[in-house]
Amino acid sequence: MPLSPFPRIFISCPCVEARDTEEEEGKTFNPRSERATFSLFPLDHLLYCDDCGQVRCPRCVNEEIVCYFCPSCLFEVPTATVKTEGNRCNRNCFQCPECFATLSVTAVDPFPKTDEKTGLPMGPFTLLCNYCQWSSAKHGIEFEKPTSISTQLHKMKTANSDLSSQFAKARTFYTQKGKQQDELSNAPSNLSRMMAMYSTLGSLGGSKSKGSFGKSKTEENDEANGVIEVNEADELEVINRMRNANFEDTATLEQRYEQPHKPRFKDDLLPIAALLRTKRSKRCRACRHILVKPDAKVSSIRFRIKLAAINYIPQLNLSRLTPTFEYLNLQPLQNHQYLLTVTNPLFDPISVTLATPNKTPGKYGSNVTILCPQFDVGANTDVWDEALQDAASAPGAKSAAVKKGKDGTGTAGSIWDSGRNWTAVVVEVVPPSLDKEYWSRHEALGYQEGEEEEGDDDAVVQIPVFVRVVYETELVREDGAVAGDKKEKNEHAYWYVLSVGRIGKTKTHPTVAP
Amino acid sequence: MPPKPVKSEYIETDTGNKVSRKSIILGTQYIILGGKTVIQSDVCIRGDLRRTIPPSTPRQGGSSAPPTTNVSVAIGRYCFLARSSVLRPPWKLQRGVLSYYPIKLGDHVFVGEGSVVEAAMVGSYVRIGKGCVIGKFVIIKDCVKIEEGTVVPPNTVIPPFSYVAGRPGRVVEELPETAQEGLELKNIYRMIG
Ligand SMILES: [Zn+2]
Ligand SMILES: [Zn+2]
Ligand SMILES: [Zn+2]
Ligand SMILES: [Zn+2]
Repeated sequence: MPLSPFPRIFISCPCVEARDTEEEEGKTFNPRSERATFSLFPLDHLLYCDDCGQVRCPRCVNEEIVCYFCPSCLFEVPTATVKTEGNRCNRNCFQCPECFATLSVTAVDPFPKTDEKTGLPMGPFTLLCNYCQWSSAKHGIEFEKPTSISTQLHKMKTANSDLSSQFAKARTFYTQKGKQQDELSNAPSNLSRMMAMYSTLGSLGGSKSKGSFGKSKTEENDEANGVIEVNEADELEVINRMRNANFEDTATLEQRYEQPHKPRFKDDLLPIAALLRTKRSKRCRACRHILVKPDAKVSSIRFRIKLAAINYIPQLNLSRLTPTFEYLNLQPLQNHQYLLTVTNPLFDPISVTLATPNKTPGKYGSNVTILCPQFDVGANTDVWDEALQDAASAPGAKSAAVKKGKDGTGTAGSIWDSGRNWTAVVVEVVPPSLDKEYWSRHEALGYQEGEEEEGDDDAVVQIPVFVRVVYETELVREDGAVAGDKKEKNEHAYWYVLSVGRIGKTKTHPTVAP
Repeated sequence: MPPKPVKSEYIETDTGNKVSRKSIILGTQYIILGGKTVIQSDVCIRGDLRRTIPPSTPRQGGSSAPPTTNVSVAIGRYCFLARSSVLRPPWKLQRGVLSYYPIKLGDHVFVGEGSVVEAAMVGSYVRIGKGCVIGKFVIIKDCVKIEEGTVVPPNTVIPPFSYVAGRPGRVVEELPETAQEGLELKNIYRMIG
């Protein structure tokens, strides 16, 4: 997937700190630490638990499946069917084994005869790829009817492969074992049984597992459990075919991976039944409070419950104050001015404090200055209020004093601009120059000069900013009434990471603004 | 640089559509615009490619034939068709006769620069990036993002909350629950014209 363009803004979910014992509170967040990668999310990927008063990332929520559906025919599949028939569509939905595009049921004959009664084309039929023209008929798979392809294919498969019988064997074996386990432990619920299964399976080969699973490897390895045996004759045949095959006749790793029988040759690839997708609700891991509950209908995009962080946590946006520099070519030792806009989603005004280290962490630290680190942001008032304010006097609606420098640059200590529920301040970044070592390695890895390296590119300027938000809400009493003028003080504090661009080589001639 | 045009680039319709004077719109009587939609320069909409049924030929067993309508292109509210994009009704051969089927776009659909769309249906809150090809009879449901340069093969169905990329286009990721808010196009409409 291509990297998103600069600037990028992420929030560090506090669940990463909970695991940290050495790191003390108040220490600067290092976006380059290995652990940080797993805690940084764009704001719109985070949820918010209003019981815990904390953002929740995919790592600190529990998911529950609401429904299963086929992504291709969009039919809902009942949970019972998923349990008995597996997690793939059993209608007519297949993926191309060669390029993974959708396959369509088409008559083999390009000008098929049509049925007198229905006016529909007559068979035989094939599964045809709409992208690479792969056709099941070319590999000996033709269908009599254009419907229930899955059943027809299943019959063919069982006829010419013993894979499914192996699966059936394994299945009965493990179901029986599961029952035995149940009786042994008198497990009260399915869950504990599953847990027991996994914990013992996980320690396969470990010496002291008590359950019947993984008791001893040799006992498990008998024929009853359907272990695939290596047949020497088959292997020899593969080797012989390989001798005569061209490179393009062999299946790629990705293609093999998608096939249960792991074929080595493209000729042996089978259509892939569409993998079902799910709709899931999400709960806070800490307090079990429900954070997301989607509508159960497959095509619906509505939610019955949706506690998204964007409605609770201020949003940060970054732009170039003057578009004289390029994000992918920040000039060493030059001052780059950015405009940082803080938008308040709450119905109460907030006080914001921004803190950032003078020098960004990492091998090539940039100097960073936030010209006005302390300011207020207005409330996210009703749209009607806004309309009325606009009607009254648009410029006068601004409450905060706005001071822009005479030369169009920011002045220390004052905000740049503000609106109804947003305030903008200037951030100055002076990147260092990269040494020869960086550029020679960059080149050796095969990158172009202005190209970003995959993974952690040392040339990308990442600024950790600690954003502390304080606001007062009206205290709501137990009975739901507002408790007079008593107010409750609230606070949010999170580490944000601003990726502001990539350091380039010093230009020999100055850039001219367009 | 060409000389600055005296008239503004966009013509605003009664329902607030902003249509560039430099767009190519054929068969306007067969096109429905929901309002507040932006059509940029060099966009091509082929409303003229509509289903024609010769009135003389008696049709037998035509139960599977789609209903005949006078609309070939239907576009919802707050859509944005960027420069040089193309909307073209999909077609197929039926009993040896080429027939066109209508193309329908929901609300808040963004079609990126130079993209060609021949889908049967595009839902609401859909963003199609720059330089994409959306094949014939593709169905895109609500809240879908299609990465720049993606080729979605004909007849593909894309479920809600999908992020699609590649050639051929595949669902590579699920979009977050906030996708709808992120894909709204009201602000971009206000900025035009
Ligand atoms: Zn978390
Ligand atoms: Zn299906
Ligand atoms: Zn294919
Ligand atoms: Zn909670």
